[in-house]
Amino acid sequence: MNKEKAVNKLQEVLNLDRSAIKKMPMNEVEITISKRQILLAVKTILKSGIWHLSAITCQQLEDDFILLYHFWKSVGVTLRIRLEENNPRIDSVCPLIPGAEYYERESREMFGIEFLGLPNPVPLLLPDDWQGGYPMRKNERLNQDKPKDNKHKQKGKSS
Amino acid sequence: MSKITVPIGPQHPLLKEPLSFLVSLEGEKVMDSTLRLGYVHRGIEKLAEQRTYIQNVYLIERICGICSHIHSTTYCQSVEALLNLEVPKRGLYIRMLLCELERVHSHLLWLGVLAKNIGLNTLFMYAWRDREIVLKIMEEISGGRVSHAVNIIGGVRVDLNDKHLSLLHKGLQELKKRIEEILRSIENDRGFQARTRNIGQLSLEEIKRYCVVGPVARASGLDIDIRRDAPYAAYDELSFEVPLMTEGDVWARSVLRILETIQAIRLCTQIINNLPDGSISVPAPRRVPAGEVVSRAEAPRGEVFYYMRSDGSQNPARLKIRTPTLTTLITLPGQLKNMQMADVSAVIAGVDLCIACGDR
Amino acid sequence: MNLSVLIFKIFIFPGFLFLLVTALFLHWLDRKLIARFHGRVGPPWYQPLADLVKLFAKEDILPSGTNLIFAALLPLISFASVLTASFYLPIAIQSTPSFQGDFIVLMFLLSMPSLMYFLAGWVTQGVYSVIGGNRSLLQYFSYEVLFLLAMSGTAIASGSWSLADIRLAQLKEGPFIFPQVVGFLLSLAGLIGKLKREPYDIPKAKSEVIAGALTEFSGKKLALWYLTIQLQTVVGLSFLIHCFFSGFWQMNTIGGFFIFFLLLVILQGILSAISAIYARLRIDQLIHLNWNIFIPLTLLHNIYILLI
Repeated sequence: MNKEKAVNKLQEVLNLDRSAIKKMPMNEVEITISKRQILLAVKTILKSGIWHLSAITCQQLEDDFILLYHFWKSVGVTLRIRLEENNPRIDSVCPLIPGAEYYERESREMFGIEFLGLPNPVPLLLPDDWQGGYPMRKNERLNQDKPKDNKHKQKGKSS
Repeated sequence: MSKITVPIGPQHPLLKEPLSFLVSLEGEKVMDSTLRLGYVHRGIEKLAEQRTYIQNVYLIERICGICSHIHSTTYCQSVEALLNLEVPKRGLYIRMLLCELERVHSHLLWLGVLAKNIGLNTLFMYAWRDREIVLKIMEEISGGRVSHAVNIIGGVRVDLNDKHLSLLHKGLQELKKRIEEILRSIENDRGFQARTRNIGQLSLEEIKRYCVVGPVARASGLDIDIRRDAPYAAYDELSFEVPLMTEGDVWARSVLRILETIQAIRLCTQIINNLPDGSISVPAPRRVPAGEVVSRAEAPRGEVFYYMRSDGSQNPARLKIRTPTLTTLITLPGQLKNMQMADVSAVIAGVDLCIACGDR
Repeated sequence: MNLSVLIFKIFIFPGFLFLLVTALFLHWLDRKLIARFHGRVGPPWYQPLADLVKLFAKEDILPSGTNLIFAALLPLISFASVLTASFYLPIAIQSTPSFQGDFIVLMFLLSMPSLMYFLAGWVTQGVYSVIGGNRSLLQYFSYEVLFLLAMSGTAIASGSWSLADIRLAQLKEGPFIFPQVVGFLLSLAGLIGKLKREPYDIPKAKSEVIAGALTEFSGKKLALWYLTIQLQTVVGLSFLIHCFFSGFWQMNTIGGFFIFFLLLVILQGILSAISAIYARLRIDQLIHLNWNIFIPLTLLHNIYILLI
């Protein structure tokens, strides 16, 4: 089975121990690796027949960033990588999987993760002249101020 | 020959939603193109973190108009997996019924848009007239033509009675006849084929490298369908075929989507013939225990992916949504290289973009 | 004839007012038929008139940098040339002054609007206008030739370039439609190309170039452009009827008028059916169709007419 093959191969290639492999709900498996091992891990997964990358999720867990690479071929295999808050840099997997470009661009603009070797590092969803920092980070609050009282502007004149 | 840059979007009759596509032409040939998203970006993922799980059901439905039900289905599935809830069979069947009806609706809408973009207005009118049958059925069941709000955490909120079932029977029969007619007329229409054959071809290798999903991938020979490979919501109890084609051009995608529509009608008929009895939902607690879950479903455009992490509070800690349109958007500039300007409309329509899904 | 009769003939019947009413009527018929083919209801009879009135009331703005004099002149020139063309054509079976070569004059006048359309694209300088204008020029070079060659079959058969002689030849030998069915169909194809109707409406394909050369026009100028296109339909169809069907009636009679009108309606119906059935052709498919299939067929047809 592809999942077992991939998990075993990853274990031996990256020298992981048992605790790095976790079973998740809905028949998924999650493997924790270090950020230096990302390209080797992706190469191993591709060689064992799993080539579909569903998404790259980025999130913040107690100030550190967690990157999840979700692979899938009938069952899901997820790679989990922890990045320090003051050094969020990691190699880009775009040379191996060109389809990862949009996911990495989105993580870059929303969280500020630096992907080394990203082919087209422009914002994906945010405007080109966005000055508001990294929106999805935990310390960024949504601008929830009420709109100013515009009653004097409603008489048909434009501001 | 001079070089012209034609802006397709953000506002353009070709696009249903805003997308900036700058095409540089030399004469009538496309030399290069750049894509820019984000015009409908509403920050759904951040908003989801500020709302409770129950409020999020209504937020998630509004990501997209055409695939609203499938988004809320996937979301409810992930929460139910974290809560370890088992939705009763009847509720799952009703969820599947609306998913398949939405698939029919989406494909008919897309067919009309493709026909309009290549100038065949008659097919556009016919496809959208047939779409009215589906919209009427959905309105009878859920109260809304496009946005249903049927899913709740733990099941569904509407039940089907005999009046609905008889309406469904009649409507599905009528639809099946009309769609088979449309398929026959397309296969014999030289004008349609002249505008769609060998346009926008994607090989199987490129599909794999860009991780494309959905009808675009199946039209190039990639046999991938979440309903069959990793069944969710009782799809393992129903029998259906997954059509597959190998040409990879806009023509293959058109025929494939029509075949998928026929299969979806077949699924709907099975659902209403085998509807189990019982309740339609189970009560769900407000607080979700800590954990992470990944759930996938087959939207009309391909695999929709949800990752959710909960930390035990009332709001989700992280909700990540990856919609299928993002995967097909990457391939657009490559498809358009060395094409003629007039084919741009056929290619963009053939890929079936749902920018609201892509931008979230 | 005295002045008042002349003024009546020029402005009321069969002149300007009659042409206007017929143009609006045929345009309504086109829209209604296409709607019925689509399974829709279609607009009410006053819709084209209402559209014109609405356009006249709209604001007239153009992009900065447009040569305003030219932008105003171009629709006027096209409108004037189509009206002048109607001068020489026996529309509604009213006899008109005819001379040797008025066939060619008519062809020239009817081709002016297409040239003005292309220039309109250049004058307004938008991206879509320029692309639409360029495409229309390409289509103009192809389909004007087809129209001229196909219609020349009738001139060849009658042995003269005068409209009156074409009619006289048909009165003697019977209407030209019967020996020249192929020529009739080819001239119909040429007319569809000239009028830029579906399936040859690539210069103004809404999904690609918004509205082609007329994208930036609005208000009275756009109303004039639309009126020109609709009048061109009437004059073009009357031309076709005169050259192929003239043997059916006598000049200046009520019966002839009714047959003429009936033929107009039937031909418009054929045009609407073709518009509803076919998908829009790409510009290279259009050109290929014209030069590789239609033109050789027309040449063969004309040689055949010459020989018999």
